[in-house]
Amino acid sequence: MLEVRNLHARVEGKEILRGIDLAVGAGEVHAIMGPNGSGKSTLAQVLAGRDTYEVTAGEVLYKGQDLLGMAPELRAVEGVFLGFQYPVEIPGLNSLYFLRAAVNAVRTHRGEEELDAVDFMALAQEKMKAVEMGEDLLRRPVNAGFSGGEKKRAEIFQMTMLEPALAILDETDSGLDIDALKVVAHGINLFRSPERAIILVTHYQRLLDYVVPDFVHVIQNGRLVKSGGKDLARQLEDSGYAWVEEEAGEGSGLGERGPAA
Amino acid sequence: MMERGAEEQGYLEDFEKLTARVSSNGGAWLADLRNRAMKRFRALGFPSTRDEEWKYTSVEAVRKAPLRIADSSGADTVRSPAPFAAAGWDRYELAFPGTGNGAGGARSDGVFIGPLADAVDARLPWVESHLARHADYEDHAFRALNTAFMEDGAAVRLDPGRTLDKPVHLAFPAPSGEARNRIAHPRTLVVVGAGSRLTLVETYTGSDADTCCTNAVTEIVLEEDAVLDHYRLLRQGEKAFHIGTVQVYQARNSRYRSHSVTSGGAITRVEINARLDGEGADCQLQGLYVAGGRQHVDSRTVIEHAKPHGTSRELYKGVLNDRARAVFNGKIVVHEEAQKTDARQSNKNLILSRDAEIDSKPQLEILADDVRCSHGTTIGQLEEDELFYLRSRGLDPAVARKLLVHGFASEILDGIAIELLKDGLTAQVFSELEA
Ligand SMILES: Nc1ncnc2c1ncn2[C@@H]1O[C@H](COP(=O)(O)OP(=O)(O)OP(=O)(O)O)[C@@H](O)[C@H]1O
Ligand SMILES: [Mg+2]
Repeated sequence: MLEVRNLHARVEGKEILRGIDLAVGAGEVHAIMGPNGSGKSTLAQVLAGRDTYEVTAGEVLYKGQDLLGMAPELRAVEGVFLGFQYPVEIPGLNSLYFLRAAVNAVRTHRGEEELDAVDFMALAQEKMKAVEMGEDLLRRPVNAGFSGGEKKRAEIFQMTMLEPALAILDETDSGLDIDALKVVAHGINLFRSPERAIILVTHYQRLLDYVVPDFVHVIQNGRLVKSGGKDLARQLEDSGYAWVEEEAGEGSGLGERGPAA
Repeated sequence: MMERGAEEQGYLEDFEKLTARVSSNGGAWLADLRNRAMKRFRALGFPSTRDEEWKYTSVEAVRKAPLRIADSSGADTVRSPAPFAAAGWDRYELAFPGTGNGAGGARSDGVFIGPLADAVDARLPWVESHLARHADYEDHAFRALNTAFMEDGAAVRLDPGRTLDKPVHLAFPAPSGEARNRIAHPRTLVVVGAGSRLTLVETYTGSDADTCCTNAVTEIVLEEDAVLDHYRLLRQGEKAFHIGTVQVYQARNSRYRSHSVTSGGAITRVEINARLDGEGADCQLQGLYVAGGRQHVDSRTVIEHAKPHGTSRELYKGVLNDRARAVFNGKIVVHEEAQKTDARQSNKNLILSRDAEIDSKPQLEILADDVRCSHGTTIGQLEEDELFYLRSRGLDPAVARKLLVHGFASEILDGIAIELLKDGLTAQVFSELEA
């Protein structure tokens, strides 16, 4: 589904991604962990097409296509979804209106008919239930005045509405209380399917207790320095990142891939 | 004066024609008023950009255009522009020109809604006591011209304690169509009696055909505890000039809420001035101006707090595209006596093109010491992270921009309580931006 090869990116002259290699297959869940500032969000944003980051080397294939050559909106309608670490508030823009436009953009691209207001509402209500999101949130402008947890829940809700093939969730678990975490994890698990792939950027084992990843990668200083199975996350939880750093000391830059199962 | 003569000659001839036609109406006071105003206009001449009040808005094009008043014989047909709102909103309506004496409106016990000429002819006492008593023309050439030439327009009066069951709509199509280079001077007087409530909608519309000018003045008097919701909606043709004044006099505890939406027009200048002349009066001014192409739109407001415990809230928002130029000048005056005044003003601008420009100038003149006054201006572009967020959800950049502009403007548009009018206006604002 996704092939990232030797990806380098910089912002304001500063190199942040320094050779990322990552292969994500359909049906897989990959967790990406790593210290603050290591480049996790940068990777996520580059994959979604944010042009503040300049890609200086490498390539990304999505379903065999050159992802980096696609405009962000094309990536979206082709099935790439980014759940933002910090979703923006857009006062004045009605959530329902926005989301219907987004859903219909995807449908039109797939050659499906647009949903009218009634059908859209029915679909939204069904999906909202799954993430236990109050309908009142949808009556407000996009993310406006939402609490941190509400914003994350709304991102998952959007994901389930848009039905992407590849979901990149950037710290969707941060700022959630225990109950909300379970709900969000449940939403992600419902979404999980053999045709879909998920990249979870997270700092915590907690999420991975509920959404069990197939692979765990550690990003440090703009490179994937270690990859492993679900147990790697637990090791990190216990011992922090220092040991990875030491281990990676000599062999850094190898840009490890998901281990052959 | 001398070198300006040529342009003013047309106005003099028109004035003679007009006075010959209307001199018998309304009694001597009105003829006298017209003469004084005309004299004042001749002394003032058109303003230039050397005039501080007109520094950013040149009316040279208005001065030079050979503008003449419309022929009342009916030879000037007026093409009806598309209405603002879908048909079906319930209102009392007067349309000008075309509302002859005795036509339109409503007259019942304690309510007068009709052409100003009718009210003048009927010698209604409130007309003489208020007409031209509030909109001062001494230092304002356009108000002087309007006062000299006032003919079409409405008079609305609610006696104390009346509430109308529906809004009053005054429709002013710009003088265009067959007529070229026409100028109209609509004049409206609204007096809302003590404790009465009224919703007033003024629409000024025009087609794109020819150069034309609307020079409008609306005088509003709110007696004690009166409430007025005022919508002043402008959609002018691309060659149109529009100069307008709304002059509001507020007595004790009265409430004035203005929604002024402006789009289209080559040169537009709308002045809304409120004098809070009784304790506890409340004034809320909301404005939206949308301009593209080479349009010039100038919004000026003066809120004068003359008595204690007054409140005012002002929010003007602008969306500018292409090479449009906007001016916002918001003045708040707090008299020495007006203690405990609470006045807030804000002007926010969204600039969609590098070549668009805004001059925003708040002015506070505060002579009282125990007051709360604030003002703020923002000028910005669309937020890159908002745009990216929408694009990352599959929206085309053009659609995303449109949604964000809509989000920006909705703060004002959502304040329009007449649903059909809000929808019509929203659609109009967008077609304006796409043009
Ligand atoms: N627009 C930008 N301008 C300047 N520096 C940036 C910009 N975006 C990211 N950076 C820098 O790039 C580095 C990586 O940031 P990134 O957001 O990718 O980290 P992260 O791994 O997601 O961290 P966290 O765990 O705190 O979310 C940081 O040092 C950050 O300051
Ligand atoms: Mg991050």
